Amino acid sequence: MSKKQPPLLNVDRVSKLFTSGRTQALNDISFKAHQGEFLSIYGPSGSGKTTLLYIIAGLIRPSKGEVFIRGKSLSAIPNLPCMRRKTIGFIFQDFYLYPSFTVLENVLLPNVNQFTLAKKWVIKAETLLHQLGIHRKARQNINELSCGERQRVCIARALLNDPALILADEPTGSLDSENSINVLEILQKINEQRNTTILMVTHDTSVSKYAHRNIEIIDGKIRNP
Amino acid sequence: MNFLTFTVKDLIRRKIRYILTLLGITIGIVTCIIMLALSEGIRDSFKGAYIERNIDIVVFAKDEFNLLASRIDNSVVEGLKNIHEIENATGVILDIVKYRKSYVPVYGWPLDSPMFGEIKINGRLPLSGQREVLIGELFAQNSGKKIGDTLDIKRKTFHIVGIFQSDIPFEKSAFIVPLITLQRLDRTYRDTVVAINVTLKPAYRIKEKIDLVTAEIENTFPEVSAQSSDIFGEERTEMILMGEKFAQLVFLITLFAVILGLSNTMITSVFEKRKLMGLLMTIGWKKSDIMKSLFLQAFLLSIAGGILGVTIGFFTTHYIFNQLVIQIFTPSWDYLFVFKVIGTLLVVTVTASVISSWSIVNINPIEVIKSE
Ligand SMILES: Nc1ncnc2c1ncn2[C@@H]1O[C@H](COP(=O)(O)OP(=O)(O)OP(=O)(O)O)[C@@H](O)[C@H]1O
Ligand SMILES: [Mg+2]
Repeated sequence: MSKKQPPLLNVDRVSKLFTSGRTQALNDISFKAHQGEFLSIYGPSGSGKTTLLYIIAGLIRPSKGEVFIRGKSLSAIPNLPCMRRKTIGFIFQDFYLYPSFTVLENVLLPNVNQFTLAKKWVIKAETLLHQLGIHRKARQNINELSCGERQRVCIARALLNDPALILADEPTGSLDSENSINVLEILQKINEQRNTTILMVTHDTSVSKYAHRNIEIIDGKIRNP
Repeated sequence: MNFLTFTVKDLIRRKIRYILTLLGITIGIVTCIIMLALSEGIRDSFKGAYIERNIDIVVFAKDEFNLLASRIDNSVVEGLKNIHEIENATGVILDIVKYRKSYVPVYGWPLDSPMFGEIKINGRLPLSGQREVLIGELFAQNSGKKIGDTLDIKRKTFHIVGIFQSDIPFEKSAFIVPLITLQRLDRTYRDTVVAINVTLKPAYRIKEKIDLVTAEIENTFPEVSAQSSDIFGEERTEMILMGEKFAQLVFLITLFAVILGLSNTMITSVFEKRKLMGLLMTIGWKKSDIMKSLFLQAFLLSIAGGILGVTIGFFTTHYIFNQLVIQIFTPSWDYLFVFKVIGTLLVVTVTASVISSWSIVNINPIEVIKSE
């Protein structure tokens, strides 16, 4: 790879030791992801996949090693929450949508930490919901949605700020096969059309085929670097 | 949706909890207000009585703590009138008698007292030495007594010859009888008065002069104590001050309970929403944003409870105070009082917010990892 443009994501010899449980969750993990890549991280339960995603997002500090986003070390970024909001979109297995709030409100959530919310965000959110085929439910309460629909709301929320990187933690883990395929195809489309880098965690091999590249983690170590 | 609407919506998501907390705060604030009104009202009413009557100095038996037991010889009243700075000295009797289930203050005033000019009488003045009585309008209202009726004071029958209105809370449901009548009726009052109310000449009605005259009175008449009415009001009402202290204590305890209740609700909801808060952090909220939201929720809750509480408190205090047969005080609702209520609210809000914010400091987005 050329050195001119640093990779979007560079995970450099990252280890994580949870002192509380004395668990070595990650052990010397290194890999790079370039703009527009679709990576799947595959590994059994407890292998450290989620921990890795949180370290990449700057939510947990690694015990050793460093994470670089566009060549910049996370430890050198003064306002991590701001970076997170602008650069990273999270998708979860359990969606983590706000109950009693509407679909639209949930999509807007990343940007309502301010006393004013520009109208453009509402339009943006509605457009995203439209693209994901759930615009008709925009004003409906989140509790009234099916699991497949909820995951699409979660995806819309992740896309609100046009992130360069999407971190998806077992996005199909709570879905049936039909909905899983649907979500994976959506992610694929996002990756292709928006050139968004996607890092998808899974413990289901059948899911990995949607990715360009697979990384396997076992016991906190990469098996096929 | 913006930060404010998000915060409000998130707050009222749990309707029952929200309503119960609101009720708790409201009841607490109402209690605080009643107690505050009580303690303030007691003091203001007492002070007001002397200011209203232009009384500068109160004279009573030397070192007699219990005003009702104070006895001063009639001659002292005449002696005081000879002091140059004194414009007027009125010897009065204050007694308390039982009427049905309540206690009623009985005033013995000399018939030539200018104090009669300061109450509004419906009917006529009692005649000197006669068993005739004026009753306060509130007493008349509550007891249904009218002019021409009789009532018993110290086991003697008195004729009601007038009903009076007074601005002084103590007097609103009191009896006023001629001083001489009381002195003849009760042996212990023979040729004595309980206290002497002294008014100075206008030029001397300043603090330094009042203090000088007070000292002069005590020098001239060793058997009496003299105090400026300010000090008298503050010092000589221990019984009332006890009430005030008690009211303040209840006020503080209530305040404490409200703070605990509000904090408890906030902490419970933080605990319950740990995952959602972890989520907010993953999507780019700062911890301080979450804290702000929580702060705002505590603030809104106590403001809502405060407005409700103040409204209800206002009507309750007036209702309660009007129910009392002896009106020894009235609720005071001046700027200072409102200011104190707002201060109380702020204390509640800020303390509860700070306490509950502590529970956020430990919120960790990893909570989201360890999903069910
Ligand atoms: N906060 C923590 N404190 C201590 N140990 C932790 C903590 N979080 C995770 N771990 C441990 O780190 C290891 C990796 O956890 P992680 O959640 O990253 O696994 P995972 O690969 O995502 O598993 P799964 O597929 O079940 O989600 C586990 O052994 C876990 O118990
Ligand atoms: Mg996991």
